[in-house]
Parts: sequence; structure tokens; C-alpha cells
Amino acid sequence: MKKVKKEKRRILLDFCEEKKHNIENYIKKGGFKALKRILKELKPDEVIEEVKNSGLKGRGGAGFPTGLKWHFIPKKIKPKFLICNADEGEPGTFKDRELLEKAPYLLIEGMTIASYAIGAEKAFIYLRKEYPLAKERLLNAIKDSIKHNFLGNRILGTKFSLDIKLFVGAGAYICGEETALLESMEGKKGLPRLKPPYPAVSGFLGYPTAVNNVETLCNVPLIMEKGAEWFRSFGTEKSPGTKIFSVSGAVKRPGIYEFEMGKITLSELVYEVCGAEKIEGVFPGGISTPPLKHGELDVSCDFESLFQKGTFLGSGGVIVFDREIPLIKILRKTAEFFKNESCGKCTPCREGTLWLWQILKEVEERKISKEGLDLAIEVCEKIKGKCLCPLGETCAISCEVFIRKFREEIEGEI
Amino acid sequence: MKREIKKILKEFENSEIALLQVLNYIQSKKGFVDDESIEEVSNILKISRDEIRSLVSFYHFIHQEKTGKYRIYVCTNIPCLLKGADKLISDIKNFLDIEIGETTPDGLFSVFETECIGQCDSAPAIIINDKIYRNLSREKIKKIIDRIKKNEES
Ligand SMILES: Cc1cc2nc3c(=O)[nH]c(=O)nc-3n(C[C@H](O)[C@H](O)[C@H](O)COP(=O)(O)O)c2cc1C
Ligand code: FES
Repeated sequence: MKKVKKEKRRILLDFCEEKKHNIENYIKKGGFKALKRILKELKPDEVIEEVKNSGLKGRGGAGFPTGLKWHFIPKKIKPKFLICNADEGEPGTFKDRELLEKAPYLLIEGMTIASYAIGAEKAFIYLRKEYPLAKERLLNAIKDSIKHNFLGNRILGTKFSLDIKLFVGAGAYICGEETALLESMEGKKGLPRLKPPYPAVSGFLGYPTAVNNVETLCNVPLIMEKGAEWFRSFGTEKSPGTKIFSVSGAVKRPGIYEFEMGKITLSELVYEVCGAEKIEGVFPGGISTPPLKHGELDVSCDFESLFQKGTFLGSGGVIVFDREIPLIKILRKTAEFFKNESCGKCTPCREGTLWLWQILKEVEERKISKEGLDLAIEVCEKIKGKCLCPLGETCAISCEVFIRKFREEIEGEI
Repeated sequence: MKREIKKILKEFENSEIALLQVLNYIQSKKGFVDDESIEEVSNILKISRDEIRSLVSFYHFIHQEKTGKYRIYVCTNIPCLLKGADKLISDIKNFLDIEIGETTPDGLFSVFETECIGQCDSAPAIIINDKIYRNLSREKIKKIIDRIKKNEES
């Protein structure tokens, strides 16, 4: 077996501490150095320029260039907001949890730099209710950062002030979608807004708002300390940097792994690093991303390569499945998740996911024959391209690909 | 309760932004958000009862009906299913002699299914109130339930 360069380049996970996740230790490791230098030497625009040059793309799933997002924030309008998306609801994803619990100061420094860059004096962390330990650690980290004047009023003696508040969700996957998240913070049901306008122009309370994922923001202090060139020395031309993968399911060593973008294949990750043996397939980035069959895993883990294979890097939540449970059950559960989490605002998603789930459930319970699978594909086709936000769309694509790829195996089960 | 609601309002400066945090607080204190609480929140935050009700029905972790003192949320998403979540649920239902969504007659436990709780590397996993339990087996969950029962008796 070929030996994999095991996690040789951990740039984010190096900041994760089991026990010493306190501010003193973070400072000892070089933490807040970037912030100090920026506040002394750089203008906000220069920060945006550096992040743009680094080629950092959003790690929340959509992969939008971070520097460009910040660049779109209008300069003249006040106030502006930065919101860290820590809702991490995509099944099979737990990499933000690791960062939130074990490297909270890295996130706070990233948020402070980002806020300075876009001109926000108020920032929020939208944290999912399911992460009580992260809540405790973040509250503590905010408090200690204020104490050390890395946060709060007139940071490090400059004119820049920032207040970070923790906003805890109440259980709703859709609230991870950035505009639903904004609605939720405004005291409404988490229903996605029609885009445009994008949050960068009209976001929280109608003001310019940057919404960024936890992992995205954690990359920012490193880029600003070591430079865009350094960051670009990791990963590929189009996907620079590293990516944290959460691996779960039918593997011997589930957990969190960081690799350079595009420098490891899914097959190496699943078999060699995580010790999978006999498997059927893999969801590469949570169940919102169409599955790959066991024979299709020779693909590099980066945005472009997975896209070429008809799927997505998504959140990096790699779910490996075998025949421990029937495939029809995995498929039905996929549809069930989206059915449960559809916000109900648009009809194709609300009704479509419900029908899809009902059909698959009847196939699973052998109430209808395998022709039910054709009907399910038909429903998927009717959902596609007609939804307000990506939730219904991803459900349809993921389930349709699942049926097409595993049809024979599923028919054997029912 | 009034004092805590006002404290949250002060922290978030705006009653709309404070609303969900207030509901989270009431949920954790009372186990559900009843009409009386909705009335009180409505009066303090100056938000209509209907709007508050629509939130209460939207979010999974906020309950309209009375629940047990210990709310058990069992993850049933795929990584947990692959590690025996189905069996875990039937064990829990057996130990407590209730179905999903029900509360034990003594008012101690309610059981709910939930989607991925971000502990897939230690599946199967559950949440009881605000506490996470991972890598569960029949024996482990039995111990956890028994311990809670014993603590409640004494
Ligand atoms: C249904 C749905 C759920 C999402 N959930 C999350 C989430 O939990 N966390 C996250 O960071 N982004 C999530 N996103 C993506 C966000 O809308 C948004 O693109 C992201 O927060 C932007 O941050 P980034 O540019 O740093 O990736 C979700 C999107 C959709 C459509
Ligand atoms: S699927 Fe159960 S914790 Fe993720």
C-alpha cells in the first residue's frame, strides 16, 4: 500500500488544543501577532487585498472567494456587520466543532481582522444549539480577549472597536443558509430570502453584512501573518490552502483530518488514512453532495476535481457507507432529512421532498415495487431548478444520483 | 423570569434579536414554551403573540407541549444509523416504555429523534438537555438513564 504523506501540513489543526485552549497559550503560539501588525501598519483595503491574493475560498460549502465577498461590502454605508456562521448542520460535518471547541482564539482573531477589513464594529457568532461545549469555550474566549484588549473598546489602543456576541440557534438546518440565518437573527422564522440583494449589500437589519464560515475565518490570521504567497504554497492553483475533513461512517478511524487542497485523493483519505475496508460509496461533502461509488474514489479532494465528477467538496463531511444497513435506508434517510428540514416557504421543495420521502419509504417497506424508484427520479427532476434556495435542489440531485448509481444494489435489497 | 428576559434584552439591545435567545432560555428553564410564557415575552418585548408562536413551532429544540425534565434527543442521521442508532432508539424506548415524542408518566423523560448533532466521529450520539453523550451502547445508555433515575429519587 502506498504511504500517504499523513497530514504533513496541518496549519489550522495545529492550533487545536485538547487542554490548553487558553489565551496565554494562543499568544505563545504566535496568536494575535497578525492583528497587532495589521492595526499598526495596514489599512482595511490592504487586508482585503491580501486575502484576495491568497485565493481563499469560503469553507462553508459554496466556495465563494472570501476577499471578493469583503470587497463587495459598500464603504460608505454604516453600520456594517460580520457574522460567523457556526451553524454546522450538514450531516457528517463536525470540523467547525473542533475549531470552536479547541481553537476559539483563532476564530476570534480571524473575526476581529475581518471586521477591521470590512469596517464592522459589531460581529456575531451564530452557533448551533447542539454545541454546548463550544458555547462555553467561546464565551470564555470572548471575555479573555476583551481583558487582553484584543477585542472590545479601542483595541490595542487604536480607534478600532469591536463587540462580538454569541447568538445561539434553536435547531433548524436551514438557518445555516446565510439569508435564513439573518432572518433567524432578526427574530423571525428561518426562511431564506430571495437573492439578490446579497447580504454583502443588504444583510442583517438591511445593512451590509459579511457572512463567513468558521473555518474560513480561522484561515485569516494565518494568511495575514504569513502572507498570501505562503498560503498559496499549499493546495492547488485554484484551491489554495488546506481543508479540514470530517470523516465518519464505515471507517476504522473516524475523525478530523487536515490536508492540502487537492493533494490527497478520496480513496487515500478513506482507505489509507481512515482504514476503510469493504465499502459501497461515499458522500464527499455531507449528504447534500451526490455520492460516489467505491470505484469512483480516485479523485482529488478539492473544489474543481469533485465538481468534475458531478459532485461537490461541500463542507468536507466525508460519510463512508457500507452494507451494514441497507442502501435503500440510507437513501430514504437522505430524503427524510431534507423533508424534515425544508422550511416550507417554496412549494417544489416542501411538497417535492415530502413526496420523494413517501415514495422511498414505501419502496423500503416493500409496499410498492422497484418501479417506485422511477417515480422517485421523476419527482427529483420536478424539484430541480425550481426552488428558492439550494436545499430542495441538493436533495433532488443527491437522491437522484444515489438511485442512478446504486439502482442494481437497491433492487437486490427489495 | 422577567429579570432574565430583561437581561437578555439589554445584552442584545433590540427585542427582535433578543427573542430567540429568550425562547431558548424559557425552554431550558421550563422544558417548553407555554401560553403563559408567550404572554409574558410578548408584553416585555412588545412582539405579537402570533409571531412568537410561529417561532415556537418552527425550531426543533423549542417545544409547545410540556416535556419531561430530561429531554433525550437521539441522532438518527446516516453516520449514526451506520453505527446502530436504530437499535439505540429501540433500547431507549424499551427502557423507558414510551414512544418517540412521548413523556414517561412520572414526567422525567421525553424522547425525540433529531438530525446530525455533529458527533459523527463518536456515533451513535445523543443529547440529553444540554449534555452530549457519545459512542453509546445498550449498556451505556442504560447506565445513564439509571443514574438519572437514582439521582432523582434521592
Ligand atoms: C441549506 C443550506 C445550509 C447551509 N448551512 C451552512 C452551515 O451550517 N455553515 C456554513 O458555514 N455555511 C452553510 N451554508 C452556506 C452559507 O449559505 C454561506 O454560503 C456560507 O456561510 C458563507 O461562508 P463562506 O463564504 O465562508 O463559506 C448553507 C447553505 C445552504 C443552502
Ligand atoms: S449523524 Fe449522528 S452525530 Fe452526526
